[in-house]
Amino acid sequence: MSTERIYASRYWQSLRQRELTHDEAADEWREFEEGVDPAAAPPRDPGFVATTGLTRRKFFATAGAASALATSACVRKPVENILPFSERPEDLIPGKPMGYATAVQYGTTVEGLVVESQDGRPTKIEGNPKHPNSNGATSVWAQATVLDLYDPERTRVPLTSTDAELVPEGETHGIAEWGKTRDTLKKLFDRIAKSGGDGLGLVTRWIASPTQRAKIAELRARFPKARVFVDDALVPWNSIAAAETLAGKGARAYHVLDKTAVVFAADSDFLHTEPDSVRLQREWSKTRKIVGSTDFMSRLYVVEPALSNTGIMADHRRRVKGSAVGDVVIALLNALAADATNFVPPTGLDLSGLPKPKLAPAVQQFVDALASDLLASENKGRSAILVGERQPAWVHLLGFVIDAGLGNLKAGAMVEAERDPKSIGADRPTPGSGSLRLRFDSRVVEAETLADLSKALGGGEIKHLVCLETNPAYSGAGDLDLAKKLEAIGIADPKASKTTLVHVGLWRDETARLAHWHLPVSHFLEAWGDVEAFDGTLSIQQPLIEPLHDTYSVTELLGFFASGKMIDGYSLLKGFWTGEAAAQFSDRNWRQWLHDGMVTGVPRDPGAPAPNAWQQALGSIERKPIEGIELDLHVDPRVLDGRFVHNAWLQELPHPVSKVTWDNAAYVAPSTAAELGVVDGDLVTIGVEGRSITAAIWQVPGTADGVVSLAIGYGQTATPTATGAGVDVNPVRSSKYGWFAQASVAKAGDTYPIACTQDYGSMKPPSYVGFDFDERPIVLEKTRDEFKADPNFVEKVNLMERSRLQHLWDPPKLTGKQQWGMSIDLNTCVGCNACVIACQAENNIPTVGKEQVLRAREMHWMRIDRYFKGADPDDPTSVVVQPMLCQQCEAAPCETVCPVAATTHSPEGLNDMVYNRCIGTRYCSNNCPYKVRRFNYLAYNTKGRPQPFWNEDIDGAWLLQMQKNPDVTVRFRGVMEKCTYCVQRIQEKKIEAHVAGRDLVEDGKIQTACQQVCPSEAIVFGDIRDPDSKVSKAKRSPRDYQVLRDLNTHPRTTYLARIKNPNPALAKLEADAEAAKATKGA
Amino acid sequence: VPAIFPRWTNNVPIAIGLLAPLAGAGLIFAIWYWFSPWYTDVGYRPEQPVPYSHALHAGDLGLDCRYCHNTVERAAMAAIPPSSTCMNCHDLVKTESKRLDLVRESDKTGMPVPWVRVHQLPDYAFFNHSAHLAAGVGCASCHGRVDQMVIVEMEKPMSMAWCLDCHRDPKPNLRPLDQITNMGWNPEATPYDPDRDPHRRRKVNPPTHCSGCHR
Repeated sequence: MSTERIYASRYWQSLRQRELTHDEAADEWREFEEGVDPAAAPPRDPGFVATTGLTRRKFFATAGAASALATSACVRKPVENILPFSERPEDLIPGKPMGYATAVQYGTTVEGLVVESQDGRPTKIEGNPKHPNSNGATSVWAQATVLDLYDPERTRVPLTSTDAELVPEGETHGIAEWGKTRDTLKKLFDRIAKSGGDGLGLVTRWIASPTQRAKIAELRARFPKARVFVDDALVPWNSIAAAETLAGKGARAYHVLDKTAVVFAADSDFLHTEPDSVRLQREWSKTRKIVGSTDFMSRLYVVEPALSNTGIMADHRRRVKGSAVGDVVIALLNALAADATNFVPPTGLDLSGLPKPKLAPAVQQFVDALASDLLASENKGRSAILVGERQPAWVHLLGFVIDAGLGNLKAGAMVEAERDPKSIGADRPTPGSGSLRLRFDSRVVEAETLADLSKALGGGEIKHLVCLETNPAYSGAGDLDLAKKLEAIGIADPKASKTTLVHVGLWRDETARLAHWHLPVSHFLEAWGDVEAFDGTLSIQQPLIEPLHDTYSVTELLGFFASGKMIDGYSLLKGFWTGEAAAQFSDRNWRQWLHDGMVTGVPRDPGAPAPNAWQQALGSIERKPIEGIELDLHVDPRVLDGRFVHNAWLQELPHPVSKVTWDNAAYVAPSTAAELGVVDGDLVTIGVEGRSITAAIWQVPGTADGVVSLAIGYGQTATPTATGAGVDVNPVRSSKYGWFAQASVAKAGDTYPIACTQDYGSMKPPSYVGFDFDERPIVLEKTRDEFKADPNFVEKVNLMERSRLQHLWDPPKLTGKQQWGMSIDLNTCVGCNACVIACQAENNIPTVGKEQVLRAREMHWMRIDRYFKGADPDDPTSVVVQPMLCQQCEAAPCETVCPVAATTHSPEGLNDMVYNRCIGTRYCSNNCPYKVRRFNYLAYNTKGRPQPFWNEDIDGAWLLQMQKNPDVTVRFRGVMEKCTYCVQRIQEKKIEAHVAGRDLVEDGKIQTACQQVCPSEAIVFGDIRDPDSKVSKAKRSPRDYQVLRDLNTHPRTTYLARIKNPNPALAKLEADAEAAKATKGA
Repeated sequence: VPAIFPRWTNNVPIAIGLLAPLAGAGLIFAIWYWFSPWYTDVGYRPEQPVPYSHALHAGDLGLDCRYCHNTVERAAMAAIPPSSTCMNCHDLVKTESKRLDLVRESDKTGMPVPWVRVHQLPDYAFFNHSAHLAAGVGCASCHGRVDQMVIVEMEKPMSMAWCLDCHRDPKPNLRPLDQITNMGWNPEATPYDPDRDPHRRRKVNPPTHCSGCHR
């Protein structure tokens, strides 16, 4: 009997696991939930499937009906029609997917994409390898957008409240005709035009489209008094403000990281939620891919209030309140300024007047070490200071000062590059000339904020408002009271006799419900458009499919408002570029741009910003330290600012750090939770400035003391998917403060079920009495110095000698000419989840809903395990993420237990799963040590959701069907499934090679979905029999290890151990502090 | 004690003993025979919306299969031809024929002709035409003498056992790569050894493992 805690000093996945004793662990450990406990069901049903409420009578009725149906199906298989084209388009081969280039925009981020079209249906999104912001990879959000296109909950027809005859009983809106709607709106706009646009307002997202910008200019010419407001939480407003202060209107600053040696992220999650994270991840990971122990490797310092993906990757991390991050930056500047030889402030800048904030000793040590690292001669001009978007503009300005002082801002070189006409468009200045870049965005739309909108609405200055893909009734801060004000000009007078509110959007959201007209809009995969990235790269968006529903694109509607004429998007776009490119425009160029997805060779806005207002940077310092509890709002790493809240894939995606699905929660450090007297799932009331919300507590190690971290974007009510997921934090937001506020937190008395996956699929079965072992080799990490001292460290963690590992029976014969294998680099995997969604899109993986996730029935073939290490649960010394998918064992435990041989081995080393043989015993999953098999408890793929009244089909299943990959079987209830190494992609390339008369597929031809999407290129796949393949080379690294090698399963997926690169001086101080904590804790 | 059951019931166990194996054998035979795709699928001959005769076009007129099914060498699907392919000839030939009304209408309106699928595999089986053609499997090997069919019917069962028979021993069904669409090619008349064919660039090695066809 052992009551010793099993995980305390080792890696642990959750706080609960950390506290387990050996005995408890042995008692509790089971993979499948036993029985169906109705009490475990949440109070509401957020997802697809309702399993509760099945009575005995209902069961027999259903069973009877099912058997009757089964007999009636005992006829010949149904007649299937083949419907060929009447005239087949050139180059189209039925059944062969084609790729088209386009681009997606969210906030200021633009990613170039290549979308796979299966017989005209876009099914899978990949990155455009030619686009500098995606480099062939995509973010998790770009991956998921394809589901939005087919969302059955999208609005499909215009709705209006103005015609009482159309409105069904009990509703506020009825279905309108487009023709009539257009005429009415045209008349309205003609009338407004007569008064010069008096009282007209437009609420838009960040407009990055040159064509749309031109249309807004046109609109302003027609309505000179019209006002434009921007509602977009993903725009780096503070960075923009700082750049504009420094270098004039239109200046934009961004970082390039591929030549950096030291990176300091001050509350910046540049590896995930900050703008352009795909490019930054790619660039940063290039500096972390080491093979030998002496290779170059960059170092990452992070201060942040709550653990982010960037914090996970940090070599040194400090927990600091969001409001105190500015102090750390000031302290850093002070420390740097002390060395006048190596730190050269920009001309004329006097740093003597800086405040001297007092930091905690551990943070001061961190700052000193960072300063000495930045000043080291080998790091000169090779560092980057990334300040997070949540920090006020003055912190960004100080960041620029530090970058400039360290020689990272190479203004001269950059100006030259910017003047070069080639630098606009695809051809970004070659990196290496400094990490901080400035450019001009001279055609930016002059816009006001939602606070201005609230003021204007209150003062009666806005009478006619058009909300373009925005939802101000939801996203407006609590003190603006926008919902009420919008209702006053909207639905309060359903006839729209004096005021008008028009909403344009994909979903009937909060604002749409208040509007007189709700106009459905085309998805970006249905529309022509163009976008300009933050660094100036221009992309053309081309539609993959005709609008599925009766919709117009935003560009078309803007054109309609601006000119009164509805012109199709293609003509608008081509018309704009004919004028813009002038002499460079030709049909040949145009086709090239469409093909490449990028506009090249068109000189636009030459001229470079001259940063000169340095002294203002110091003058604007405005410290606002928060005592007591700090409410720390952040952009959610799954649904961002709420724009993806209707997307079931992203809703069900586990949060990268907390592993919570379908909800946001108030993340606090364990010690803060103890102080507040709350545990996981307890509801608390969070009050700010007299307004309050109620949220559930979830303890997350690594959160700063006294910080309550909550994601924005949740708590929407527009669609069944969004409804009930999380809590809306906007009521406690205020236009007066930014992302951090002084808050009061009190226990509300109730609890709330949170579906968290952190304890699911644990690979740590308990050690039974008498057989205890050290840490099993699951995640491995070492510091660089330890790696240098012992390059073979991965071999030493195995519990048994290789020679002692014996097989019970002969493993399958591997006779294939190519043997597939995978290598995953834990050094560069940041846990952004892009692979999880890519896998879901490629392999027809369904979502299951919160209730099923609570029962551990989520279907993701790939999960990202996250491990903490350290004696202090508040401040783990290390956090590691590990993608876990089928390891394709050569001696697979699952195969030996299947009674029907539904999982067998292929001669090429794949662990095949045959759905049509599977009878659902789940023995395989039980016997899988990696816990990567998934069972279809219900028919998740065919269940639809109840639909709003305007949707013709009841379940929308035909729409979701269109997203399915035709090369992969759609699984039914009662079937086990798992990662196949994307066998459909392997077979496709193999057949291609065979048809061409080759036996072998060239290395790199086959890319698994997770590999292709990975922004940091952490996943490599290929033929391990070919010694020259990329995967073989990766596996020859001394860091290569097999997870749980002592089980002798011979997994084909192996991992490269993580190597941290701490500052030796600081690491020593940290180790001492940790040792002190461990003694205190023991 | 009076007898509860009449005397003849003594024979019941013997009768059951004799009949049960027979009934069992009968059941096995019934399933083996009537449930097999040889019985359920072979001979499936649905009526098509347009009475197109392969016997006339492929047989008498001698059109190559690939004139219409032109993606067969490049893709998984052999692609039913678009109406415009029909109209290449029927613009000039049989321009008034009532039987071609649907094709002409399709060509004019752009709506497809609703052909009925004859060879239907389950959704979890993935077949690729191009791989089989590249290996030298003739059209007739799986589809039979389509050139003699007025209405196309299924001639082979397309069952998994039937597929595997060939995948385990493909040689008897391979032919010279230039004879693939030759419906009348007779392996007995012209003995052929694929291993000695200089035109073949690789040895045929068909998959027999699950993910070869099930994905």
